[in-house]
Amino acid sequence: MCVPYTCGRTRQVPAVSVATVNLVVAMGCEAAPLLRALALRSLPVEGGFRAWCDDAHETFLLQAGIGRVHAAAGVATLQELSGHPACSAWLNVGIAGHPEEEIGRVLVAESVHEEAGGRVHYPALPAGLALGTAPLLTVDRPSKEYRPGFLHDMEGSAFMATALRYSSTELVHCLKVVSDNRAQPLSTAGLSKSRVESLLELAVEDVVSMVAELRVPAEQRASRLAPPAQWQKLSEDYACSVTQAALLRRLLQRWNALFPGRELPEVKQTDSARGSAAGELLRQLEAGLDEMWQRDGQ
Amino acid sequence: MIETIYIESELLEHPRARAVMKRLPRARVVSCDHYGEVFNPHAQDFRLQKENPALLIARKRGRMVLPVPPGSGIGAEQDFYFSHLLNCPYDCRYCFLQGSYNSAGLVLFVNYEDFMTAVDERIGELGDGERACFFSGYDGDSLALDAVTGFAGEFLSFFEQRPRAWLELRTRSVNTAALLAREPIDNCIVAFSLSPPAVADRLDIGAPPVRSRLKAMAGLARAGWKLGARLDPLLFHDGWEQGYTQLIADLFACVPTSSLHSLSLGPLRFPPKVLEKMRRLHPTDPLLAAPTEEWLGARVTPRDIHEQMQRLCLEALPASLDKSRVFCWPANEGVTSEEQPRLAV
Ligand code: SF4
Repeated sequence: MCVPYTCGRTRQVPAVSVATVNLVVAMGCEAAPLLRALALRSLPVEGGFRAWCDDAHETFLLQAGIGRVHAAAGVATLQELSGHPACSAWLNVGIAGHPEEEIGRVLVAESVHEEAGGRVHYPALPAGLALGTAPLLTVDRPSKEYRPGFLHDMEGSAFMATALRYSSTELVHCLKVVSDNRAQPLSTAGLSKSRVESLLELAVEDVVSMVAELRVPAEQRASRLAPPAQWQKLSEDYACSVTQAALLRRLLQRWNALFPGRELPEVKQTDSARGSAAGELLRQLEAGLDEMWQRDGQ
Repeated sequence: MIETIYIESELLEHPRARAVMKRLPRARVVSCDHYGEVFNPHAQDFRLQKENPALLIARKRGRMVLPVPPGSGIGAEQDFYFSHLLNCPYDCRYCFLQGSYNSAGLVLFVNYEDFMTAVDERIGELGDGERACFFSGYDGDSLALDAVTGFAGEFLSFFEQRPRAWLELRTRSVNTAALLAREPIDNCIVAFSLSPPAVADRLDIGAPPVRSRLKAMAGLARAGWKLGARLDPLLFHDGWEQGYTQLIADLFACVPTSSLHSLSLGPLRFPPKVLEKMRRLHPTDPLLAAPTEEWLGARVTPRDIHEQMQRLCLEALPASLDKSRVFCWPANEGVTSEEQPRLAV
């Protein structure tokens, strides 16, 4: 995999695993306690972001900046950086206001509402989730006006909308630490970095266990969606079009399901041009599968 | 166990919705405007959700009662279905629902009265002497969630007053408490889907074992309920001859032929797109990977194989079973014997 340096050159890094857990925070002071707990090291990255990952390239964290635009761009950047695994789990971690909840309480978003656009996402909450949940409202400006019962942040809805383009609703979540409430609203100066960092310290254990919990379904999904071993080479050798490659993938999966460990039928060479060679490969594989099933697959 | 309930906010005070939530006191409740916001988005993983499905409490809008696909009747002049539930807590490997919806969430439509009104409208349209069968297990198992939904009790009381309409409850569950708690009614068929235990144990994931279903059938028969046996789909597997022969023997050892309203047989069949999606969800499953043929627009077990299985089952039926109670899919197809069962009445 190639990771771009800020200067535009690239360097080789070890291939990432097929399923990663990708965390996105807004601020450096939100990232700091997580970097320590998850033992993450800095990665070079473009676009004004900061990013880290663990030695195994299984867990990534990106500091995106405050607000929806930064969150969306951060998710897209991290998707690129983590090597495009289609089965990543995504977790947005940060502080959020809540009118009634106690400061320091850790909550997972059960629904994510965007004040500006009105869109709503409903993450499919993990089984056995021990943490409390609340709806999350993403606003564009910090405010002392609270919607009753809601967490309030500035990134969640954009994070969800963008991460869901790459993953699935069971694997995309927002975890928030309550930083202010009606009794102790934000001052105009906001919160100091050290205050944010100490609030995030309260969530570290929950973040670490959620990362571990999300990794399990992400890996299940990854192994289910992984292409058969022979697929890449065959589709390249036969110059398959996108549609042909998809058909080939399904045929190989069916072959492996019906005749595990058995060699593919020999594909006879034809004089056809390359495009139709792929068609011939598909035709012969399908016929071979039917024939083998009739003969001894049943 | 259901951990999350999504509920359309307009239903928060609905008495039936409240009763359902009371039966699941430990579930978190999340309100939404319309269940489709949760159920319909594309970025969902049916397999992952199946491990922990949420319950969605909703109001059914639009067409409440629909005609069934042709060839699926069990003897009435007209056949309809209605779905108070979409999806199922069980996870049968061959269940077409997993290829039909983006989400594995269990959608419960609580406006039962609107279904009943629509059923009455259909009954009102019947010709003289005509009867209609209303199937309730098309988009989910009729009884699997009955302890939560209270569906059977309410609809049995309704159908009891409407003798021209039959209600088919189709299930792989053994949730018969609501039926056994009351007098049987003449126009309800409690239909159990059955496969040979060797294959059901592997494929009917989460559903009670076949021997428990047979026991439940025996209990209902003793209580006077009319039963259905659904050998549909017929599943091709190693030892199918012995498996189906024994299953039919076990069935009639538990259920007297006089209690059997109908027995139906059908091939494993899927709309083509549904099968493709199911293969993607279970790429290593040999049942779904096996070759199929096109038959009446569906992808179906190769016909020669299905016809062998169907023939064996028909031959294994006891002579005392009135053949007019045997139905094959599609109607009038695939039965060659002289003693051909009447496939549609
Ligand atoms: S019982 Fe019926 S509805 Fe439920 S999973 Fe099995 S086939 Fe599907």
